[in-house]
Parts: sequence; C-alpha cells; structure tokens
Amino acid sequence: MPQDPHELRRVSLNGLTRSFSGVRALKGVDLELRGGEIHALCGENGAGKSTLIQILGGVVRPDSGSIAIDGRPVRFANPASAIAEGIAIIHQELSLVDPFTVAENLALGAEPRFGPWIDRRAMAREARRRLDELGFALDPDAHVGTLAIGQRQQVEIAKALGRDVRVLVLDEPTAALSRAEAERLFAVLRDLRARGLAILYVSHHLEEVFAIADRITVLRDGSRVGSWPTPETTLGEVVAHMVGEAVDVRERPPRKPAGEPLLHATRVAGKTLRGLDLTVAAGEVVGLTGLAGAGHEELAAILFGDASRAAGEIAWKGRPFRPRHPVEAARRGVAMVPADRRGRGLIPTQGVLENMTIASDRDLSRWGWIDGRRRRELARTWCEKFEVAASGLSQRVLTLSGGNQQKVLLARWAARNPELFILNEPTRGIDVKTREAIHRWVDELADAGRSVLLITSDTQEMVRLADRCLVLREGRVAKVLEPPALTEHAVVAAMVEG
Amino acid sequence: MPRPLRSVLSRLPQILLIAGALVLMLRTERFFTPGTLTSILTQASIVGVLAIGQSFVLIGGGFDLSQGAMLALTAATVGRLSEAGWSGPACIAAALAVGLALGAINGFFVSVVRTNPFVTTLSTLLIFRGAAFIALGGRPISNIRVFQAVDSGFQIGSTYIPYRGLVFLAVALAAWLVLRRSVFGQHVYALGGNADAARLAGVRTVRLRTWTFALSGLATGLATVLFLSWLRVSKPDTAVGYEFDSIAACVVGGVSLQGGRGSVLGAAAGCLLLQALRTQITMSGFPEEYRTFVTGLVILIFAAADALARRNERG
Repeated sequence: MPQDPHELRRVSLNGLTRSFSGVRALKGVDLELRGGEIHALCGENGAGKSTLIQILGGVVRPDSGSIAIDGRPVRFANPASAIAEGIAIIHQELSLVDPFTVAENLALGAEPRFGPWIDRRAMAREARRRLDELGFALDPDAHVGTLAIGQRQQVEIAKALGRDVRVLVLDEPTAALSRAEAERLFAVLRDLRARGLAILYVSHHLEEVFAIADRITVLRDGSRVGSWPTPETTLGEVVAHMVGEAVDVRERPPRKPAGEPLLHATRVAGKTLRGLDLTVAAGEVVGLTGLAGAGHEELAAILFGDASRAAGEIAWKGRPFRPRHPVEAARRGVAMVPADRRGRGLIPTQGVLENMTIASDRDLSRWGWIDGRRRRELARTWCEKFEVAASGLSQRVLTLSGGNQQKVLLARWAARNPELFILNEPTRGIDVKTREAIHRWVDELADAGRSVLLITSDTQEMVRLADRCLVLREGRVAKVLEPPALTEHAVVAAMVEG
Repeated sequence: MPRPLRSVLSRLPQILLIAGALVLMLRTERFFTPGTLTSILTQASIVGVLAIGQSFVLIGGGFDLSQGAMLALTAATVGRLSEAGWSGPACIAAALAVGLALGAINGFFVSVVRTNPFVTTLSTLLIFRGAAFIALGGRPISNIRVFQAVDSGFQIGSTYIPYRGLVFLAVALAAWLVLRRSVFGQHVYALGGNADAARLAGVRTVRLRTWTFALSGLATGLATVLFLSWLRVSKPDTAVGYEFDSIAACVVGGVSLQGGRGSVLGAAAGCLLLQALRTQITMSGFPEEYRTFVTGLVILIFAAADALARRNERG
C-alpha cells in the first residue's frame, strides 16, 4: 500500500469508446482518478458504467481511446495486466472460495511456503497482520462460506489490497449490505483514501454517494455528462443529469381507457417483497421498477410460477391464482419474457423454429405429434410480423443479433395470445430500431385489451410505455406515478432517495 | 472461417471414421458378404438398443452409467420368472416393466432429489449389479428358452434377416420419429439445450428428465430380451461394460455429451460402425484386446472433435 504522497497515482481515461454487436455502450468517455480521492460514478442502467469498469479491469478492450497512469500510456490485454498496474476491482459478486478459510483466501495464489508445503503458521500470521491493518475484526480461521455478506466483502477488500494496489474500484458495494455494514465500509474507504489510494465508487444510491465521494461523474447513454466536486452539486442536479432531457410525453400514442381489473394482488410477500398491493386492468400497461433487490423481479417470478414460496393473496380474473410452475401460469393466460435472454430464455442448441414455437408445441400437436407444417407456418407468420432478420427458420438463435433474439422470445409467447404479458427488461442491450418496434408492439397489445406488466430499469422506456408506474423500495411500493407526474426525473428520484 | 468449411471440419472425425472403415473393409476378403453384414447387425443390436435409450438421456442433458448392470438385474429377474414357468410374452412384458422401473429410479434421483447423474447411475450400477448377484444366489441360470422365438429370422432371397437386427432398426426408427416429431421429443432437446429456459417456456422439466431415464431403462429391458434370446444364460457378471459401449456409440454418432444435440439414427449408425470396426479387427486376425484399445481411441477422438466443434461455434 502506498504511504508516500509522492506515489499518488493519477489514472486518466481518454476518449474511451466501445460497441457491443452494433450498440455503442461508451462514446468517447474521459475520466480522471486521483490518489487520495473518492470518485463516484453515477448513471442509469445502460449508461456505460459496467463497460467502463470492465475496460479499467482489462476484461474488455476499448475500440478506441487510451488509458494513462501518471502520464504513461498503458494497455490492458487482460485482467492480469490491469492487476499488474495496481488496479483492483471489487464486483458485486465476490470472488472468494467458500470452503476455504479467510487466511487461505487471502493467501490464494501466493501462499507462503516451507519447501513444497504451505507454511500455515506464516499464512495465519500474515492474514492477521493484514486484517489488523485494515481494522477488520475477522477470524483468519473462519470459513468464508459461514461469514455474513459484509464480512465477506471485507475479506475481498483485504485480498485486493494485499497486492500493490493504487486504484480500487467498487461496483455497487452496498447493494447487499445492511446500513451498519455500509457505514463500516465507508469508514474503511475513508481510511484508504487517507493512505493515498484512488477509489472509484460506482453506485445507484445517491445519498451514499453524497456521503462518501469527493467528486461525482455522471454518465448517460455512454457519454460523460460532467464531473463535479461533491460540494458544488446537489442530489437533485445529479438526478437531472442522469436522466437528461425528458422524453416528450406527447410522443406517446393515446391509450384507450383501461377495462376490467384482471389481476388483484394483496399483501404479497416473499424473499424481498414485504407486502405489496397491485391491480392490473385489461388494456393497461403497469410499470414496476426499483433498485436491484427491491422486489420487482420477485413479483414477476411469483406471478409466473417461478418462485418457491410467497405469502399474500393473488386473484386472476376473479379466481385465486398461485401458479407453482410456469406452465400453470401459461395455461391461465399469463406469459413472461425473462430479463436474462441467453441464460433463461433462449435454447442455444436449437434454431429459430424450435425456440419460437416451444410454448405452442402442445397446441400444434395431435396425440403428442407435432404438426410440422402448422408449426413452420406459425413461426413464419411471427417472423414476418416481428420482422425477424434470420436466414431461415433453422438458423441457430445464438447467431442472431440481440434484437432478433428478443423478437424470437416475444413471438414465443405472443403466438399464444396471453392476456397478461410480463415483460422483463424487454429492450436491455437492444438496438434503437428494435427497441422502437417493441414499444409500438406494446402499444398494440394495450390497444387490443391485453395487460402488460412492464419491469424495466430504463426510465425512458417506463415513461414512454407505462400508464402507471410503481416504484419499489425494500419490498414495498415507495411511490406510484401516473402521467403527467410520471417523468424520468420522478422515477429516478423515487428509486434512489431513501 | 467460412461456414461450409467449418461445418465440414466439425464433421471431420465422422468422415475419417467412415473412410477408414471403408478402406479396411475393402482390403478384407469376405467382408461384403450378406453373412458378415447380417452378423454385424445382429451383434450390434443389443448395444444398439441400449444406445438408443442412452440417446434420450444424453440429449436431455443426463448420463446413464447403469445400463449394463440394469441389464444383468433384469436378466436375473426374468431368469427367475422363466424358472417359475412364466410364458415368453409374459417374460417380455416383465423385462420391459422391470427396466422401466429401474430407469425411473435413476430418473427420480436425478430430477427430483437432484443428485448428479454420474454419481447416481454409478451408485445404481453397483446396486443393480449386487442385486443381480443376490437374485441369482451367485449361481447362473442357464438354458433360458422363453425368448427362443426371437432368436431366429426370415429369408429374403439369399439374405437371412435376423429378428434381433430388425428389432434394433425398428426401435431406432421409432425413437428417431419420437424425438424429431413429437412434443415429448422436442422438449427433450430443449431440456438438454437449456433446462431453465425450457421450464420458463412451460416444459415440465422434472417429469421430463425422469422420463428420459425411464426410457433408457425401457430400452435396457428390451435389450435384455435380445440378450437372453442370444445367450440364454443369466449370470451376475452379464453385460459388464455395455454402458460404455452404448455411450461410445452415441459419441461416435454425434450425440453431444453436453446435451441438446444429436440424433438417434446417428447413435445407431455409430453402433454399427463400431461393430463393423471390431468385426474388421477380428477378421484381420488381431487378438481381442486390440478391439478394446481401438474402441477407446475412437471415443476419445470423437469427444475431442465434439469439444473442438463447440469451441469453433462460440468463436
């Protein structure tokens, strides 16, 4: 750890640009990190924060732009070269070996040796020293798997700082922490700042940002909006910068008045939900949003039979509704498109045809045998309707662009004409043209009297589509917004303000 | 890499094997005689039927190591029943039912209890093998004649068609149709491709996975009938290592061990190719041990090719 002020680092990122399959995630971003300073990076989902961190950690290479450390240009070919330059990144998902002890995790890869054997006594001594130095009251012999999340994070920090670290990047470090644990983390960060480390603190929680950061940079749509010393800006201003110019609500086509209420949920509770009430009517688009873990993801899982346990009462079209398997939800006319397209949506080994019709195969069959002609017809119809750009029905789904993959997943359920569509981040990471096509299709659904539960962290999308937006915080509805009060600014403010 | 070239490259081992087998066959006299070909088909039929059952499990993303031991236990059960005077058809029904039930046990553990398929079927391999020994009291039952009728065939022109080979081909065709054309089969492919996605698309994945193992058991029951019609002896160490031959046939036939890909017809062809290669080796005058050696080598080459093809695909 650098103690000498002359060793303070200055990391300059200049004009970083990076695209992922045609979508520009970063558009010429500049950022400067200085030793002895906590620098907060703020922005909505999709603003480019993760890409920036990945470039800094050597995971992703920029298409253009450069990185310089103390004026010396550097190039990160891989994570190891970023580590060699003293950059440590602590991700939301920690990279610890659970069955190992704290000391073993700290020594991993550089164990003190006695001949061919690990010198366990030296390892324990070293661990004790490093933990004491950081003021962490952890038992070096405790197994990491048994520790609380805040303690595990301390292990991760101690592990990162064991190397010659000058720059520490923390990605949403408090997302899973209790308030007390977060306070403890802040004390550690202030201490590290005093020792001359440059700290990049990435967070959605603006109140925390204002409590800890010396400087705040806001990203929006892959560009830097600006950087300000914390005392020179306010929480309201940062929210405004994150959101940018509000979309013109007049862009929205007018909706028909909502019909009969279809879904009634009362006092729904589960792992993250703490009693939520929700009503969705026919022809209504209800938006749900919140920070990670606020409960909106869990609600989607409960409604689609994808959650193991839930309390509360749910009625669908006047009858009790508690699906225990997605197929039960599907039979009652509920469909869900998951946020994790590749992991939970697509079947990578199969083609467009099979992926598109899997939810309809039973309807297309007699005595268990699929009518191949009807199946191909159905897929062709939906490929045309959604303008899926595929070389043919047998093209493997993974070779399609992200936008076309999403269209295949939407068509999978649209073909069954469900009455309630749960759309989970329907346009995340998707090109603008497809995004607009999907938005127009949601308008059509509402027009046809179908209900949509829209879960999105994209506030622009929320304002464009939702008739009503529920902002969740800590498992409860924190705010209900309806046009004209439904603005991007209002949504972000309700999400981040505690 | 251009697409056609890549697809040829990923099929390279299959092409090489067929080419190699052809060259060897052409160099051997008396290979392309109806007699030799028929005997290959007959000899391949038992492992062939096992490979078809194995295909369901592999395509669904599982693994069944217990087939050989399951065959031994089924054979022991049927041997006892035949001693007790059960008729041929009744014994066939019993063999199928016992196989199905034993397979369902594997399926229950893998899909409901969620034990690892490898460990599960390794344990049941030992359990079934041990149970076969106990059921037989350590004494083989010989002269089992209930399936005598299956051990024959009919004549088309100068060619003798054995029932065993015919059963193998018919089952392969039926299984291929089920996998390609039925809702069940298509869902098995989806299950092996991405189980979570399949579940969210409304597939009852737990039930389905149980069925894939049960079908492997059913195929083993049928293989037992073919086996007993051929050897007419039930011993505790019957069919040792057959599970490896069946997995080998699948791998050679292009069924992916990662699940979600492959065809039953490929597995059947793989089985025939391996049998042809073995017959070849024997006819060329090499000792038995060479067959084992070559079989192992072939499996490794094909598994490596599968892995390389997948790497190519991702890149």
